[in-house]
Formats: sequence, C-alpha cells, structure tokens
Amino acid sequence: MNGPITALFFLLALIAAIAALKVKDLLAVAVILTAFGFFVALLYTALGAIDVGFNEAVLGAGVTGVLFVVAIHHTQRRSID
Amino acid sequence: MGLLLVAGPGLPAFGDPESAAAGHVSAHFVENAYLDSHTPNIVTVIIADYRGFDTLGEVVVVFVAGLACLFLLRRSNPQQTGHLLRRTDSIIVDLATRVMTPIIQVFALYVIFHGHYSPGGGFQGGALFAGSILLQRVSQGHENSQHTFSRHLDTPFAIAGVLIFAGLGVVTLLAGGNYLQYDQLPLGLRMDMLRNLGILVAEVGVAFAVVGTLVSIFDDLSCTGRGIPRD
Repeated sequence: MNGPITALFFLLALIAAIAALKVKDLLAVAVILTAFGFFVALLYTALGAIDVGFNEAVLGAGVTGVLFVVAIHHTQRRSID
Repeated sequence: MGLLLVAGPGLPAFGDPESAAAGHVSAHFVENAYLDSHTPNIVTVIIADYRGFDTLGEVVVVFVAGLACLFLLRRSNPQQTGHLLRRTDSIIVDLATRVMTPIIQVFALYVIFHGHYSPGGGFQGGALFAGSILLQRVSQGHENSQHTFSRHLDTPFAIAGVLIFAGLGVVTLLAGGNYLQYDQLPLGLRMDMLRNLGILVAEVGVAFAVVGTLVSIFDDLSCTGRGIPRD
C-alpha cells in the first residue's frame, strides 16, 4: 500500500538497532534505543496498527528510556564486552 | 512446561488462512463490534470486551512485574534511602518540563476516556500519565515531585487498578452473567450502552494499574541506599 514509507521506517529502525549494539557508551545506547522505539512506532502506524504504534511510542520511546538511564546509574557507564 | 510442549503443535500455523482467527472470528468481531457495544474503535472493543479475560491477565502480569521490582529493589528503612535525583540546574529544562507536564497529563486523560472513539485506551493513557510523572521526577528532583504523586501512592494505585478490573468481573458474576459479561451490569441501560460503560470501567482499571506499576518501578530504581552517586 505505502511501500516506500514502510521500507524507510524499517531501514531506520534497523540502523538504530545495529547502532545500539555497536556503541559502547550505555547512556548513548539508551538514547539510541528510544530512537529505535520511535521508528518502530512509526512503522506500526504506517502499517495501520495505530493502537500498537501509540503504545510503542509511549512505552518504547518514552518510559523505558528513563528506566534505562536510572538503571545505568546503578552500574558503570561503559560497556565492557 | 511439558504441557506447553505437548499443546504447542496443536496451534494453527503462522499465517494459516484456515485457522479460526483468520476465518469467522475476525469477521464476527468486525461486523458486530459497533452493534454490540456502541463503540466505533474495534480494537478497544476486542481488547476490553471480547478478550476482557486476556486483558485482565495482562494487567495482572504488569502488576506482578511491579511487585517483583518492589521486592528486589525497594529499601525498607527510610533512613538509609537516598535519592538519585535532584532538581535540575538548567532553567530551560525546568521551565519546559513545567509547561509540558500538565499538557501531557490532560492528553493522557483524553486518551483514556476517548479510547472508545480514537486510538488509545487504558494502557496508552496510563503509560502517558506515568511518563509525565517520571518527567517531573527527573527534572524537579525526587523531593519536589512528591506533592504531585507521592511514592507511597504508587503501589496502592496498582492494586486499585487490578481490583477495579477484577471487581467489575465479580459484579457481573453477582448480577447473574458470566465473568466480565458487561451487558449483565445492574444499571438498567440498554445492552450496548452497558457494554460501552463496562469497557470504560475496565480501561480506567488498566490505566490505574499501569500508572501505579510504572511509577513504582521507577521509584524503586531511583531510591537507592547510597544517595546521589558520582556523575
């Protein structure tokens, strides 16, 4: 139906996911993961699942980012592996 | 676990056009959702009415996750409790969050109560409301944000949400229907309006549980025994 837009969001989400795996600074990873959540939310919306996209936008791109940042404060900021 | 392994192959294959969900069940939902409950948003009807028992299970799962965080992370002795969060020094962050918080909260309430007509509902609205409280916790510091939503309120909120949803089922049972059969509510309205109302009560229960659980997890994480750590 709207192939190019869906493919674009899918590609952006893929890039964000790979970047989150490669970056060593965990605080940056938390921010990249919220970006991933936002792109996935856009993807759901483009595919017509608006309720699911809404949920992902609020939880994946909002609340989990804050929870990750607070959890990182309990450990070290840099990833070892 | 063994039971799951035995029962697993009996499920229809992924994308199977012959399965019940792809056949008559979905068509029944699409055709009857508005007639049954006077609610244009079919997603809301399916989540809160046709599959209300599923959603009750989801709410309980969310609540149990919050309880697990509580038992693992919360410090019981208030003297030892330090806070990770203090008020921000930036005037821009301070002002922006002060303006944004009430707007987000009003929008969250709109999402909860307008879930019948537009995308949204208890989960989304509750998560938005919790997000606004977390925004205030992060920007204004833990102490200053207590008067909007005290950390002693979050677990009672979660419990109240689960009880509202489960209690609604008990009310329909007492009125002579099945569990969560909203058209048996003893209010003397038309059947579709009763189901409409039942969905609203269920959504409010879900929202309470989500707000309480998310804020509870955040508070358990941010209140450590160590006080403000190094940057």
